[in-house]
Amino acid sequence: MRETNTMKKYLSIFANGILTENPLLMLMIGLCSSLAVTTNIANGVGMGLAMTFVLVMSEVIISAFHRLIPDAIRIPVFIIIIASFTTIVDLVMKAYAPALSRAMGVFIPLIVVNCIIMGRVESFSYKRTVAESVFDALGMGVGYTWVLCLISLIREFLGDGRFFGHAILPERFQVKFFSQSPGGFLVFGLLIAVALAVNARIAKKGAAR
Amino acid sequence: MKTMIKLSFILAAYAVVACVGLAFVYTLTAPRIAEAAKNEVNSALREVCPDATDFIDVSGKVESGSASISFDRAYVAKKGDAAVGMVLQVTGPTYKSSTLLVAVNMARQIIAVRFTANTDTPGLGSKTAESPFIDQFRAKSVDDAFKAGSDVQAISGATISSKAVATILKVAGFRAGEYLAVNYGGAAGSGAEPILAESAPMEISAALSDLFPGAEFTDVSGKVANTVERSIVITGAWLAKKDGALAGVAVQAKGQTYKASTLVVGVRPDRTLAGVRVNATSDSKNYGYAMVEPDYYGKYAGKRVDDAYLVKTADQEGDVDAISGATVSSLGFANIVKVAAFEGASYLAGAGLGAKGKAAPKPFVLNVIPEEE
Repeated sequence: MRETNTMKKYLSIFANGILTENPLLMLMIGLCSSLAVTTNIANGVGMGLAMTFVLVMSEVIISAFHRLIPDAIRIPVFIIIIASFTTIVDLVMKAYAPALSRAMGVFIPLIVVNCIIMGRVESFSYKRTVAESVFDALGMGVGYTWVLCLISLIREFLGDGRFFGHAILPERFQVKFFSQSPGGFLVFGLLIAVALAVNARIAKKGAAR
Repeated sequence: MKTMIKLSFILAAYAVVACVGLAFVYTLTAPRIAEAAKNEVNSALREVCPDATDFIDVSGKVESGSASISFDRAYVAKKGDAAVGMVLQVTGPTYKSSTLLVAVNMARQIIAVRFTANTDTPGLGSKTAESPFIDQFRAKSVDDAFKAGSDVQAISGATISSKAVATILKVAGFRAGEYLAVNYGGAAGSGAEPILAESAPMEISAALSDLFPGAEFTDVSGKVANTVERSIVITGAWLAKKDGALAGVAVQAKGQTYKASTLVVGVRPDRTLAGVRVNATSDSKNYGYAMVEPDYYGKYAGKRVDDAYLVKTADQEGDVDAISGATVSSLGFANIVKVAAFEGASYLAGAGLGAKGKAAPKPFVLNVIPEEE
């Protein structure tokens, strides 16, 4: 019985990041990189994975060592840890996926200052156990990644006529606007609206029951 | 104080651990990153030089010989052990500036050209990077002239960019051909060195000796007066004598072009022009400034003083060509020449030194320089 309870707790922490506290759609943090790189699906997946890796590693390390991190200097220590993992991702990506690394440009190094990571380590993993932190990081990472993928799918399809890199929409039906930044804002705004509506419905159901 | 030191040490400890970790990852990935960077360069090079299997970096060993055109990188393309060509990355001024990869084969022909950067006007100068303009250089011999209008078809509306790209390609192609000929047994060339001396306005003494070579000059400034047109000012005059005989008079005159220019006009006693030289001009670089090119002012040599000096434009027939893209400068240029030549010839005639012409027509017809809107 106790085991199912802990399992349930972990699952709810994980699910938290997917929708109810989705970093992009609900908390609306870490937006600039997500809007900038989502012009095609490869970038979306790459950015999402890089971000998830840094999130998981930073949260694990910080929750494991949180007794050894004095309160007064926790922020600089967080930054050192996050920056190290970001640099590792950056180096590995440059070595094994140079094309992807070039497409992401400055946004990989900028993961360091992404508010999602800073926010989660400060508000969650600094106070919780390692296991809880792992599920939180995975939830947030997956939540970030799926939104990124969805935005890139829509923008790549409408703006570039491609679906997973395969050209399917002829040029005269393409709307170049979606490849530009205003298109990113539009798609993102609509997604927020949909997510809020879905969330409200879930909440209503929960209250009714 | 004590806590401060303690906290500093803790922070330092975290930093040290992080650094060691990063150093470890860096050592693992550095060779891969270097290889990836090399592959990237090679694939760009292979695009312009598809036959090659390897590229040897010889950057810095080839000089463009021009102050404005620089060879950023240079590679000798090899297939097995044999050199098959050379690729240069060259940056030079076009309308703004462009960087190109130029590949040349052992037979002194351009294999392919690819732009890596171009800051010229989109839709005009930027067309130099596109087909059909860029295609005309494929398989072109580096010993060709690369002159717009003869062997290079310029883009209409982007003459300056077209000419500049042709010049850059000529310089890069020629130097690459020479380098291959000297170091790798490439075909030797027959073509002339690219002309790189950048034209500039001439000092008055240089202009005089260029107009009347070997002559001696007597200053007669003040004796050549303004009689027909006040807006163009005669600022100096010199009588030229060669071996005791009169060669002519050189008249320095200043007037409006696009901004203002000072020209030196050489007049022979038989009322023909020995030539025109530009002494100074404040016209725009890339446009009116082209008057300092021998190609342009050279056309005036041998004209008669009493010619019309009307510039061919969209609105009028004429006997003088305009600088492309700088009609206003050309109109002003022709006016200054006409006035200076007339006054110079009148002075010679009046002093009994040269042929008499007709009296000045009234009004003295000049090109009309349009007011700026």
